[in-house]
Amino acid sequence: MSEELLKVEKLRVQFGAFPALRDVTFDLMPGETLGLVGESGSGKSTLARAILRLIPTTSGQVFFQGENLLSLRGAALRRCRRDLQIVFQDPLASLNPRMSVADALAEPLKIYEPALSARARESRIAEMLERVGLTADVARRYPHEFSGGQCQRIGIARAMMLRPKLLICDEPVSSLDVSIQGQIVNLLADLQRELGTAMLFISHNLAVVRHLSHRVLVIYRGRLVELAGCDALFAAPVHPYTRALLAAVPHPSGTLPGQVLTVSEDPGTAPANSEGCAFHARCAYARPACLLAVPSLEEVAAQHFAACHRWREVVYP
Amino acid sequence: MLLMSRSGRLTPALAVEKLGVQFPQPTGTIFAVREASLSVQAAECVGIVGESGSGKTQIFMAAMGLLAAAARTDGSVRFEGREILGSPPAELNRIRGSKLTMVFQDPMTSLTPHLRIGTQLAEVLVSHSQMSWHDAERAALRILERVRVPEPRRRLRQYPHELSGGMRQRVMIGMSLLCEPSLLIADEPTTALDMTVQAHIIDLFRAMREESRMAIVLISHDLGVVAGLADRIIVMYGGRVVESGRARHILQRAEHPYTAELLKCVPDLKGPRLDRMPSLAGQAPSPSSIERGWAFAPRCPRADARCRVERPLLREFPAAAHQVACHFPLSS
Amino acid sequence: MSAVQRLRSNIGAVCALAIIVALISLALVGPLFNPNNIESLDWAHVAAEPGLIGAHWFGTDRLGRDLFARTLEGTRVSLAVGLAASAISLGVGIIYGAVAGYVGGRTDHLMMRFIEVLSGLPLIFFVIFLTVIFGRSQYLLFLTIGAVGWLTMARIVRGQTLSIRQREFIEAAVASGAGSARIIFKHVIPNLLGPVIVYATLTVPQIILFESFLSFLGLGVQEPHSSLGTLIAEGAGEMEAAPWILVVPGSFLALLLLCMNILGDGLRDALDVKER
Repeated sequence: MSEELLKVEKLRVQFGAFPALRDVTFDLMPGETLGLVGESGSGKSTLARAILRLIPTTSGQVFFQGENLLSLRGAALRRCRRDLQIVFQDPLASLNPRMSVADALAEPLKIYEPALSARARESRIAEMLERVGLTADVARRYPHEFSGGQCQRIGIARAMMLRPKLLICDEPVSSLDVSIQGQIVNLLADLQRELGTAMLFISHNLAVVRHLSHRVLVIYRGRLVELAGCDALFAAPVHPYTRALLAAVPHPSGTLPGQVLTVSEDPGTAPANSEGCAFHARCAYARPACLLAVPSLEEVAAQHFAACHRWREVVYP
Repeated sequence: MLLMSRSGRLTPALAVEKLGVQFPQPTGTIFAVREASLSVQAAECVGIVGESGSGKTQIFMAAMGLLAAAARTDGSVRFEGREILGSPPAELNRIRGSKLTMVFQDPMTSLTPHLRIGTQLAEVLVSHSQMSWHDAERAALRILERVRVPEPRRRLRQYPHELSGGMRQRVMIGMSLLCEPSLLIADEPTTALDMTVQAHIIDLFRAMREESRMAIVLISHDLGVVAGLADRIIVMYGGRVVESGRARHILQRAEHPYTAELLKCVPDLKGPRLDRMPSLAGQAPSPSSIERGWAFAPRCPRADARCRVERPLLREFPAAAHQVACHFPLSS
Repeated sequence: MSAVQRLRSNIGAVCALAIIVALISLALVGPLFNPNNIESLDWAHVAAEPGLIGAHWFGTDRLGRDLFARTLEGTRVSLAVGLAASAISLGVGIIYGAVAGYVGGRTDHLMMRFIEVLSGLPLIFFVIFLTVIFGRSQYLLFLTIGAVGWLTMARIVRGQTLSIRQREFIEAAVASGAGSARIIFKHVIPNLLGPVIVYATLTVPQIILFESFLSFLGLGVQEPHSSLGTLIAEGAGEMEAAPWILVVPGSFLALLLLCMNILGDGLRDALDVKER
């Protein structure tokens, strides 16, 4: 059995009384792209930050390259961070406005390869800028001089400077125009092919996730509700929430399928009860029995898992 | 009420003629809108599509008199036949918020955080139509029902932060409908919302279209959002209109290469998975850059030497209802 | 529009800056044009009015000392104290505030309680105490005033740090493996310099005024040297008979303070506006 690059086990993150992540379990193989799809409040960004040790976790384990990531401290944690990088949603906000592009890209090198000469650093920076589709003269300038797409390329260059094994992308194209999103997505795909980086690609936009992912995870209100290979998920989604998400993407011909309207819009401001299925309040297939127990991920087809009590009725109506 | 001009043709709800919007700065002028003409007929839904910096929002900010103080404008904007560009705020306030309304992208910052929803809604009616508070609150309840806010009575007493993004956007849309406007401008109304919520808001706009004779302008950088709603689509690039025509025609057979490229970027989840995600190469010109030849030429797959030097003018092609600004439209 | 451009277009601030530069130049270079020095007593022209006799352009005081030389020296001393003490309070305050704000938790709690205790101590007694122990010297003056001025600076910097800490590029730096020291010095401090610079230019006049006050009380600069404060103290006693002894240094001080305040306001307007 091959070694997983990232293994998350029953991860739970609680902000006071609010359960942001509940019993999240999945793994990620080296070189694989795992798409994570969910809407606002689903906990997807919380998951990214929890894995990166940017926020504290309540319980559960995260193993990265075999090491127990959540228990590392100091130098050992820093060593791990070298292989675990992140690209953020707001490209401009994730760059220090007072640092030139050269300084921003040089920082990872200064932290992890302090012995490198200034000249060697410069050439690594120039090489990386070119790899992400920017010219070397960009280095002298400051983030506010660039467009959103260019800033995101800079952010990707910074994250990839040390050739990390895993790149977490937290909604990297959501703040860009639709016409530019493809540039960044294709860039990430190219980098993965060239450097063998694994990716956890987080997005609320299914269309974008489809292009990059080998497998796709769907998260709703802190719980995983579906996991499948990319083609299988888009061809035959099982969980009612996944189906609603797919139906919500406007079609180029301009017609909007009626299916999405079976899902009511407002999740309600009442907190989700820990009893039963979190999707119950919005689900067209819900029955009182759905409230009795939290559904767990069951294998509904080969390598395809869904957390729904009534999945058989959904798939075979 | 449809206004007829003396020639007997219907007066458009909004008529923009050769509008230019500039922001003079010490570092150089910013040309937000270079020269744009468009019109919106009564009861029509027009989709305005373009990338960031194309000027699509600034045109309507100019119409509403919401431009920053430093802005300079030229050209004309007529609302129901009357010139409003450059009107003093006192005059604009008679139509803004009642006959001519606007809904913005981020509902959180458009609603006043410390006032209840009911108060904000009622205030609009009381200040514009001299209704009593009591009647205004009843009208507010009815509006919330019309925009399909669940538990409307409870919502009236809540504060904006207690509502979700989608709910707040519905409240904003409701607020803009209170005085039966002739024209509602929606600037990226769904961009900040989740996909399922977006679908519901689009559906709400569709219902509004069927119920009333209101004209709607829908601004977006996403053709997909506009596709299901618009009667006509106007495409903007670099502060200018580059294509304009009936929605069906544009969606099925766009004439301008830029529109065709934008269409390719609308994802088709039913179709096969593509190797490369479609996108446009390069980036949109910044409004502060100086126009040299035609700004789209560097990114256009059909451009040749002529396009780099000579900017194409907007002309009617292939038929009267359709306009394109291109030397080599797709069906030629 | 960059901050520098905005500042340039603020005519008030530009004039204020020009006047400050002119005053500093005068203070440094002026004595070269005047044969008199601060100590020599001209018995022939005691308490003389400003005029051209004996090159006493600003007049002389009760002892016959030239007021031009003394005023310029006073300006030099006041400015030196103002700038040096501000530099000390800046340096200490920024580091203290940034560390407290970034590290947070109990450390922050303790550090801020310490500041609160110090703030509660009466300033004057502190200065008198230090002067009595260490005697009088210009350098001690810098230290004591600076040692007091850092308290408010630290509070301001801590507040700025708390809001910068939330920003995404700090998260990015943590995720990159940067240690706290690197983050504080390379990421936090460069981004709070805007408000800090503004506050610093507004504290320089406060400090000059405080020094003048101390010298007025007899705790600061000593004879034969002068600061604007000591000159004003002297001049106050001669107000009826020889008003210029008060008016000249008083005008210099007032002009200096006014221009620094205007410049500080201009800097704040130039730096605070959000870049569009």
